[in-house]
Amino acid sequence: MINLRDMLNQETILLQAEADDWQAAVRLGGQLLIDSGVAEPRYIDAIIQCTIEFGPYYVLAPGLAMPHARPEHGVKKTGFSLMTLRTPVPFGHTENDPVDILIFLAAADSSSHLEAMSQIVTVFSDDEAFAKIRQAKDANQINELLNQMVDI
Amino acid sequence: MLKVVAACGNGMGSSQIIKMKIEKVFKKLNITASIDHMSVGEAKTAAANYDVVFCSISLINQFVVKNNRTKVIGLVNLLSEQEIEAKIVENDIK
Repeated sequence: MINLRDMLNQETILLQAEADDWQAAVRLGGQLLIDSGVAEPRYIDAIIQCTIEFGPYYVLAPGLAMPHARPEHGVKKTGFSLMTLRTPVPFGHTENDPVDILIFLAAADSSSHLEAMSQIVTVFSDDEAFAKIRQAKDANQINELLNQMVDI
Repeated sequence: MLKVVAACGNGMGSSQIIKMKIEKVFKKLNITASIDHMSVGEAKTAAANYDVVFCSISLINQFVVKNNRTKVIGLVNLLSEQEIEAKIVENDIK
């Protein structure tokens, strides 16, 4: 089973980053998936293409986005990355803009990411978690938060 | 039984999150429903076979359903059970 806590570490967490617009943000956070061996560079292009085609449907809640594409778009194995932005950027969502917390998902198939995604739902169903993640300065703080909130 | 589909851009992430949340709310409201999830491309074709389509508000214009059966509900906050519950009640879904 793939646990969110195991997926998010020093290598896949980037905090208080700077990006000029949503495409730059997707490229910056998506690079973490590439660098950690989870996805090929074309996966990031697919996310951007899909966003242009369908709109920012993966902006889940105010300030929170979960950019992703499909397994055949260059996923090597299931993984996640987390990025926060110092300055929020608009994704073109009618009500949830601007975004400053981004969870990147690369799913290798339709089910291996579900447990970790239900952990994401648990974490972000708590308003305090948003504040704590926004304030976090290093990856250890994120791991501590996950340890507290996700009991597996 | 109520037939429900959760749709998102590619059927991998947001639609599964919507499914998790609406399952919880239907349970709370004692509504029995079978819930599928799929991409908007698939759901556009399949929508007429469902009673309710849930999707992100960003995708609502993708669905033009010309029957009296299918209701299309756009969600702003996919994680808000309050919003989902309010929209289920508002659309008289049972």
